[in-house]
Amino acid sequence: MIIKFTKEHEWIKLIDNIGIVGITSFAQAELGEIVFVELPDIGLRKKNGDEVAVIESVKAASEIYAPAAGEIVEVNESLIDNPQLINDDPINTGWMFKIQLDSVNDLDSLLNENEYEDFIKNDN
Amino acid sequence: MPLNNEINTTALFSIHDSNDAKFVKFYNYKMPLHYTHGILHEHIHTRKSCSIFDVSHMGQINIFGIHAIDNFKKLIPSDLDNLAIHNSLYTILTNESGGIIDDLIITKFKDYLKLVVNASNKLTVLKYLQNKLGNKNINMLSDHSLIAIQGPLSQDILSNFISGHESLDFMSGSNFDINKKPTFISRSGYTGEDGFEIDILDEDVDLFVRQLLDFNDVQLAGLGARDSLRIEAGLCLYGNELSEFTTPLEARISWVINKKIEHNDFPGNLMIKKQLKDGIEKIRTAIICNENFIIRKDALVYDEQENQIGIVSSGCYSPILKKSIAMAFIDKKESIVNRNVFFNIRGKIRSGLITTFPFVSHKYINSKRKVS
Repeated sequence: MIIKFTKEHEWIKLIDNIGIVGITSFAQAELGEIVFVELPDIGLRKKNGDEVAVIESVKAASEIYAPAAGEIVEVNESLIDNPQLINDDPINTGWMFKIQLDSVNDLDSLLNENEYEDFIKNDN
Repeated sequence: MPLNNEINTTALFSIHDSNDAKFVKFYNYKMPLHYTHGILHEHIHTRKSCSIFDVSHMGQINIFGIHAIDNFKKLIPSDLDNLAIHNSLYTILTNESGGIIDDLIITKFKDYLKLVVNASNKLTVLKYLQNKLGNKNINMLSDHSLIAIQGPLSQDILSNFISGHESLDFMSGSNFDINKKPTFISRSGYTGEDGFEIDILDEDVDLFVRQLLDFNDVQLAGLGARDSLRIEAGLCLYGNELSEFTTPLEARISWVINKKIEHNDFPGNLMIKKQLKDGIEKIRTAIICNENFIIRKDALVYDEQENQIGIVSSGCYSPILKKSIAMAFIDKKESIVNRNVFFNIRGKIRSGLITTFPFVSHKYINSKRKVS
């Protein structure tokens, strides 16, 4: 399975042409305790970089962007009542939405795991 | 965070550091924002159990000498004459336009007054008092720590160290020895919970806090929880609700003004008397929201017709109500309980409801009189 990262601290896992998206462990730690999550409507079409979701933590609100173009096909409804899942397990049960990608090749320009690790080390 | 010589730490720094504090620069102090478990956990722990807050960054100023004390009485709108020894009151220093220089707690001792002032204002207040009362009668304490022990278990926890504190009412205090060292303890705090504030020498505070932390029910809490607790309790913060351009009536703390105001000539009294007579334009107002967003400081408040009617001074997620709560200064005529107000949050119109303070009821202990 392919997992890629954005410089906005999102991850995207690819299963066939569906991308599962969430935020990284680094991002959840920076945001602090998450209290509300606003998820997109299913069926919405998003371009690369469009705002898709919003996370409200005790410290700040943070927009989540589409890491690649596509259509929202599923959202993690359990986050509505349990937003802290993102803090507890950001890259598994804390996933946010699934996006059917227009082109799987769009992920080529994103960071792989090592590149992302380097990015957060150098950027902070 | 890079530190330089201008940033101070408190005597509890090593305890904060060894408890994995996430530090934040608060004016010129490096203070804990939260510890390992985070702001939400610390907030709820305070309401259910017992938390220790280091508030040593606040200024402790003593005023002594009969003449200086008499002159100081003329600088505040409250009545100090009827305050008993070892009791405290919350009041404000006002400027000539009725605005607020600082909000503070005054405790009366036999031959001096102790003021606890905001960290953000302590140099301003010190200079102001020196200017009004003379340098030699004012002393800013430099070797005292101040810790707040807050929450329903506070009294029981303190019983492991002292006795007699059970009979203290809210805003009254006494001298106690802890580890054979002198402290002054008052039943007070700024969370809405029962609790105590302990004035203790810097050299004695580390041992005492370590002893407190040996109890399973006791945890440290940082400035993050202190802020959300005081918002739930409907209490003002200087710089948010209070400023040189806000009067006590507008901030809804007019109870600090002595009822016999006609005999009272504190700075700005004419403006405040005028407001008492003619009314005010804006007033601090409580807002609660049922939708999934947090209203933060500086958010604009609108009516149904999208006219701006106010601005948010503080807002947070209420861990007790599990809702977004805020204080806003709203046009007086629009500030009506149960009325809907609106916000533009990231381009979407969201609604809130005007309610009453406090958001979470106070748990102050008081055997003699009602405290609002």
